[in-house]
Amino acid sequence: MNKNSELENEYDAIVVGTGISGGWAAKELCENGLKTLVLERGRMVKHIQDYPTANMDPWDFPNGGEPTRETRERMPKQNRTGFVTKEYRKHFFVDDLKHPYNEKRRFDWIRGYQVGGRSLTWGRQSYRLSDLDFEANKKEGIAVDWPVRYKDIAPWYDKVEEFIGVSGENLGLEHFPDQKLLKPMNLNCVEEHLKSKIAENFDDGRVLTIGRTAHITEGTKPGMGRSSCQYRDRCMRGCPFGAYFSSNSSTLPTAEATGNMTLRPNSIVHEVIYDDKTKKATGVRVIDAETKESHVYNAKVIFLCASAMASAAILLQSKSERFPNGLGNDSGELGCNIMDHHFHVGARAIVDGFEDKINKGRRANGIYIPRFRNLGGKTDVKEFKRGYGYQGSAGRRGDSEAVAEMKYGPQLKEAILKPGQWQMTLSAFGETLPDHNNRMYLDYDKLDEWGLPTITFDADFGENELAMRKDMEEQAIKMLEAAGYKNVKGFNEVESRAMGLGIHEMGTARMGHDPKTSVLNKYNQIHACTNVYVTDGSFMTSSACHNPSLGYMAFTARAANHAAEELKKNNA
Amino acid sequence: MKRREALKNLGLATGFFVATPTVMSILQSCTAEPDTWTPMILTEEQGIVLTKLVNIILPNTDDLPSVTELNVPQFIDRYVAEIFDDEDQNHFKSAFDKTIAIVKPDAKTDINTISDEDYMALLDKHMLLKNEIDEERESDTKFEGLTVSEFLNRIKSMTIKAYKTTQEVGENVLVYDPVPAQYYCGDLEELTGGKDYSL
Repeated sequence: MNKNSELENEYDAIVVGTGISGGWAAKELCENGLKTLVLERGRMVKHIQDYPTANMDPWDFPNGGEPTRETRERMPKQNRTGFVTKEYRKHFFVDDLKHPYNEKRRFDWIRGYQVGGRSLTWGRQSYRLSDLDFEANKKEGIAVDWPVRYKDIAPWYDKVEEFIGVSGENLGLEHFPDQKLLKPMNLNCVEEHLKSKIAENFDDGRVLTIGRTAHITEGTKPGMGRSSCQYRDRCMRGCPFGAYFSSNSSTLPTAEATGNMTLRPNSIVHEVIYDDKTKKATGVRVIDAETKESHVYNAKVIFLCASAMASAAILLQSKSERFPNGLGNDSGELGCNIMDHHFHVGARAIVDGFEDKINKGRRANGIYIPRFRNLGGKTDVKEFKRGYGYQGSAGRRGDSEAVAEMKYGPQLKEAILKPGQWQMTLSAFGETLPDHNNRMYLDYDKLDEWGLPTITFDADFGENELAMRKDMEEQAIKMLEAAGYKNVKGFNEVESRAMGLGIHEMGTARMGHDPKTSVLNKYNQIHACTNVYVTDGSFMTSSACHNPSLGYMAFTARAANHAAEELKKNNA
Repeated sequence: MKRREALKNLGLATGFFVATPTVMSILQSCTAEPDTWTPMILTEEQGIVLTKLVNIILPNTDDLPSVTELNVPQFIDRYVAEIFDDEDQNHFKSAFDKTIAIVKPDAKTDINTISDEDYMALLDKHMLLKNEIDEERESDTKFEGLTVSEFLNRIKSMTIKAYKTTQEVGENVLVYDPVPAQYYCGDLEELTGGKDYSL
C-alpha cells in the first residue's frame, strides 16, 4: 500500500468500508476502469498471513480458548453473543471500550474493524430475496414499497453467486428462488431422517434442505488461492484454504489485480462533503485512526459500505446548509427503521436409533427449512404477518449418557472418551417489520477518542415479532415430535432478546420511490445527491427472514455498474 | 523426585504450562510429594484437595494418561482465576471451604492426613446425580452460591473438560482429525473405533 504522503487526493471513486459490500463495490468499480480509493477504518488483514489462529487447537490456548475476564471486560458488548470473544477469534471483533456506543434500549452492535470487516466472520448462509419479499410492504400497507422487483436483481444474484461460490440444493420454489449453486454439502443420517419425516407428516409445503452456504464444494473460484472446503469448521478465524467467501480472499485481490485500487486502512471516514452548487458530493473527510491527522479525498462518485449503522452515522454527520439534518435526510428516515432478525427460538430433541453412526468432518453449515407461513392458501395464519425459516443441525453432542450416571472411577474415565447422544436442534430466524420508531442517532456530548459523536440506539422487536415467536417454537416442537424424537423441548428466549444480536442490522437508509419517505432510490443513490450510493444493509426496505449478505453483494454490484455507466454518460 | 519427572508432572513438555517463579521454586525444592504445587487463586489446602479429588474422579489406569501428568488441577485453578468473574470465584471458593470442612474431622486436622477413602466417601454421599435430591438446595432454592453437590459436580465437569482439552488426550487418545476434507455420516466403529473426536 502507498504511504499516505504518496497518496493522491483525486480519484474516480471512493469506497468506504471493505466488508461484504465494500469489497464488491471495489471490485466492480475497479473492473470498470475507475481509479478507486478504498478506505477502511480498521487495520490491514491480509488473506492467510493474518489469520494467526487458523491452525491452532484448543490446547494451544490457555483455558481451551474461553474468553478471559480481561477479554470480557474489554469486549462486554461483543461478549453478549457468547461466541465472538473466544480467544481464537476475538482479534476480528472490536474492543468496546475503544469503540463505545450508547443504548437507550439494549442493542447488541457486533463489529469487526479491519480490512475485510465482518466478511471474515460472517455466517455465510446465502439466500435470495423473492417477490414475496419485495411486494410485501406494498400489499400490506407497511412502511414503503421496495422500488425493485426480483427480475431487476436476479441477474446480479447470478453474477455474485458465480463469482463467490455458493453450495446448496435448488428446490424450484417461487418464494425461495433457485440459485447458481455448487454441489450441496451432505445432510447427516439424522437430518435425512427428519427430512423424510417432515415430508410424510406435513402437507403445507414445508421442506428440509441443506443450507446454502458461501463455501466452495467443487473446483475453484477467482481471488487469492481459493479451494474447496476442508470441513474444519474454523471459518471465523479466517480460512487458509480460501474456501468460504471473504473480501480478503476474493473481491479485494480481484480489485487489486486491476491496478486501479488504492487501499488505505486506518482511515475513519466521518463526513461526505456536499457541494451545493453542483448538488453533488465532492469527497470525504477522513481521520487517520493512528496519527489522528485529517485528510480530504475527492472523487466523482462515493460508495458508502461501512455497515448499516456506520454509513447512517457518516451521513448524519455530513451536515450542510442544504442538508442540516444529515446528507440525504430530507425524509427524516435516516437512521430509522432499524431491523434485525429475531431468533433464539425453536426446539431441540434427543434422537435414538443412530448410536452406531457418527459424522466424519465438521460441516460449518446446517439444515434449512425455508419459510412456509403466509405464502397464500392454507399456509396463511392470522396471528402474524410474514414468516420465518429454520436453521439447525444434528450431531453427537456433549458427553456420553454414562458420564452423568457415574461419580468417579475408571469406568468414568473410559466413558468420557465416548461420543454423546445424537441431538437435533431447529432454530428459527424471523422477519422483523420496519418501524420508524426503531432508530439510531448521534450523541455529540459523548465523543470517541477521535472526537467523533457516538451512536445511541433505541430499538426493539414489536408485537408482530413476538406473536410470530410462539409459532416458531410450536412448529419446531411439532416437527421433532412428528419425527418420533424424545425429550423434545421448545425454547423461546424472549426476555433476553435484543436487536443487533442476529448481526443482521439493516434499514437505516431505506430505498423507496418517494424522496419524502425514503433515503435511497432504486439504484441505491441518495435521492437528492445521486453520486453517493449506499449499498450496505442500510438500503433494506424490509428484512425478509433470511441471512441478508448475499443481497448486499448483488445490490452493490448492480449499483457499482450503474455508477460506472452514469460516469461514462457524465450523469453521476 | 528426579527433576525430569518433576518437569513431566508439571507438563512443561506439553507447552501447556508457563513456568512461573512459584513453579520453579517447587522444582528446585523438589519435594517428594508431587501434589504440592502453588495455585494461582486457590489456597494451598484447596490445591491439595483439588489434586486428590481429580485423581479420584479420573483415577490412574494402565492405558490412559493420568490427570496429574496432564496438569488437570493446574488447568482448573487457572480457569477459575482467569475465566470466572469475581462473584463466581467467591462462590467457588466458599463452596470449596464448605466441602473441605466436611472431610476434616476438625479445623486443625492436617489436610494431608485425609485418605482417598475419606474423599470417596465424600463423593459417594455429597456428589449427587440427576435422580438424587440435593437437600441443601431444597432447603434454600434462592441461595446464589454453590451447594456442596453443585460444587463437586462442577469439579467433575471441569476435570473432564480439562482432561479432554489437553494435547495428549486430544491428539493421542481421542480421535484427532484436524483436516477432515469431507463430511458424511458413517459407521462409528469404522470411523473412530467407538471414540469421540477431540475437535
